[in-house]
Amino acid sequence: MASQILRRVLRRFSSTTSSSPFSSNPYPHRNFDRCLSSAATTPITATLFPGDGIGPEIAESVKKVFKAAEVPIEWEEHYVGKEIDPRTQSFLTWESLESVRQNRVGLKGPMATPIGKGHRSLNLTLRKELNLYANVRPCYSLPGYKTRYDDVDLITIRENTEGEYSGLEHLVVRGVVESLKIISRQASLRVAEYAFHYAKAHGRDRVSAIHKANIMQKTDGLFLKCCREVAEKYPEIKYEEVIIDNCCMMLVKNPALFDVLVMPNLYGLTPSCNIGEGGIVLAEAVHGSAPDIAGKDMANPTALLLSAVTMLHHLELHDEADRIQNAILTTIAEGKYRTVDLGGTSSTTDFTKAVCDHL
Amino acid sequence: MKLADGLFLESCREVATKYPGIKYSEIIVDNCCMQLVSKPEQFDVMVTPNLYGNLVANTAAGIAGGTGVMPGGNVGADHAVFEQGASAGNVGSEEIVAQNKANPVALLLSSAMMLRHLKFPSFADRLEIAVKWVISEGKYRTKDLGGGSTTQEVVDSVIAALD
Repeated sequence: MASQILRRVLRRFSSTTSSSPFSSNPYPHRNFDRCLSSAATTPITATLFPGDGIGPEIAESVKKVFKAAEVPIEWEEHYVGKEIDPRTQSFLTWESLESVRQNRVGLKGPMATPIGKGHRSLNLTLRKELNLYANVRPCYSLPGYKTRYDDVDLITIRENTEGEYSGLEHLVVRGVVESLKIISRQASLRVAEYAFHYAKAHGRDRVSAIHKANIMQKTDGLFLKCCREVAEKYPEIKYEEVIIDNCCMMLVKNPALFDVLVMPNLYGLTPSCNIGEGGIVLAEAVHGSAPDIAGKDMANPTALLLSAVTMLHHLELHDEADRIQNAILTTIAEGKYRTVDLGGTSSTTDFTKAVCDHL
Repeated sequence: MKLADGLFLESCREVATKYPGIKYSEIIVDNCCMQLVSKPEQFDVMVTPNLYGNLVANTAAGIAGGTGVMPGGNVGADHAVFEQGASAGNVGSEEIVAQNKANPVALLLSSAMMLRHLKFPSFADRLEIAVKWVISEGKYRTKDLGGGSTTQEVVDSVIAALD
């Protein structure tokens, strides 16, 4: 398993020079800092949404670990309101959104979306308002923690703004509801471009487009057409198309087969085989808010911590990111401090302290 | 998808109240997929709308052994058609057919389901027990289950096991 970490680190170093809009550095003054130590000049402000349920506890963990690692980040915390803000049509206030717009970077804990009520989902609001069009989730086996599968190392890149989650539903007649699935050329091209660029920048050799174009010929058909167009521009990367049914099956039987997966919005729910996932720009923990264990100091902060690591990479704070990631992986591999969901008995605080000690 | 899936849930809840002896719970499909992969034994009967059902069924099939072993049925008010539970979107090709490696278990178990539907429980039981015995014995298995037998060999051993 150590070879996996080595591989990942090597990939990163081999791709440091990529000049494209996606890796354009929004913080040019930091270029020199990266070569020296992690002593930064000005701290970066990032928005933090602790979220609800176990959110605040695991957000605390992130703050503790970052402080112990001396990461130059200042948090601007925002909470979900109790009433709907008319300016945003959701529980997220205008100020919260503005904060992320200004800081350009954020970390988000799980946010419970009440089921069935009429207002906009919080996660959806964030994605639409900030135009976060790609949802990136790296899934890799954590060394030292045995699960059903080893050698998982895949990334799912999911179109984040349209598809079945367009939020366009209406009541046709009592007892019949219609939901619209929208796929556009622009959004599909955008996410496909991102997927191929990501694959190239991270040294991955295959991109698989997941679809159900055999049934949804026009919508998923359009998505596939866009993927093919982009694939032609990257001849060195292998491109294949996999029907979602088959993909689900292969994912549970042999996830090592997959590399980079790109898909329209709904199919992103394909099962993730492991812990350790993150998002981009607005790094988020993919799990729910687990209201049943909230406040009991039992939650596993790993997902949010690893998401925060992804955020650090995005901010080009690679040293800090690697240090924290290694600390987390070492703690889990050691096995002494593991939270309940990983089969251990440690509390959130104990696990966090162990990670800080490993820094 | 509040309205659409909201309506689905409302309907499920209505029916659930008529069966107080059966536990009813709801789970968001994202969480469900994750739970399926990590702890599938927590699930018993799962009811879903169309698209999710496709994904969940294929995932469950992958966990339980693959498309080659999972039976299924399509049931309506007046008719019922039984077939393999999960096809993973492909039906094979000429070469695969010629190689005689297809796994007949899924379709055999689906026919057992059909027999049960037709109210022939003893025939259904006999068939199911024979098939399960052949699989657990392990001597005759097709390629997808890690063996090297042909379709015909598996079928012959099921017939032999019927008694």
